Amino acid sequence: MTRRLAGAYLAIVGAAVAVHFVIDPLIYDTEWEEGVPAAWIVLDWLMAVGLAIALFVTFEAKRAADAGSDLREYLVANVQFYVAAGLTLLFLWNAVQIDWAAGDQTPDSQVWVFIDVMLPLLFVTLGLRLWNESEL
Amino acid sequence: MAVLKRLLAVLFVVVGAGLAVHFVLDPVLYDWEDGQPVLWHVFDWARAVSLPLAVIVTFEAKRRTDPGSDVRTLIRANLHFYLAFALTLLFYWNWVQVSWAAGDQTPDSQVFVFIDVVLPLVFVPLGLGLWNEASTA
Repeated sequence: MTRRLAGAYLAIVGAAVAVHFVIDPLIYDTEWEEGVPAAWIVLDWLMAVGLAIALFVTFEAKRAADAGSDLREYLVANVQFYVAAGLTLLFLWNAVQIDWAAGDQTPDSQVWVFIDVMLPLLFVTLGLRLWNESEL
Repeated sequence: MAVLKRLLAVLFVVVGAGLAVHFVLDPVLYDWEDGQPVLWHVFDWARAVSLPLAVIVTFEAKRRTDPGSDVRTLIRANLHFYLAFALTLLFYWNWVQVSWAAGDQTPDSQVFVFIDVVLPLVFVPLGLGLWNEASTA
């Protein structure tokens, strides 16, 4: 049940980030004159929770796959874990610059683009796998 | 040999994990108005020393595993070596621009972001692997 909930959460957050990323230029003006839109702030927090879940789930899968003999499973588990770890570092580094920077730093918009493209690929794939596994 | 492996393992894990934490905390700690913070200089020198060592260690591992090993070991050894090699090139190219550029060049901050994210993902598993090797030897 927990795996199914985690799967649903990751798939929904991943899909929401993907859709919001694509329609962002249509619904917000280019300057973001009133600061970061509220929907992005909400998604940032959802992504932060999702990344913690993804790190835990992919690390567990990596540990199991490393001990097993299936090459395909080993590749999938390792790629997913290292992508999750890399995204977590990038996300935290960029997110703390929204409100908590020591100086005038602002988040790197190209890093956001990278995260907004890669995170849905990881979350939706991982979420669907967790959902399907818990059905078995 | 086991002692050397353990020393290298500690170096890689400390540099990798320290860099990851420092990278994430950097925007909160520094305003960068007085130039590059001292701790980043320390990490630059630590990387300058540890990256060539990582290339040597991963090349040795790659040479050992290339002939006749299983696919999983082959992939891991080659990935570690080529990532360490590429990171070394990128790091030195960017680092020499901090203080020693011939003209007005400055380091590419996005290249540093790439290094600061990928290097820990290479160094920490590499260090843990070396530590385990030394334990089982």
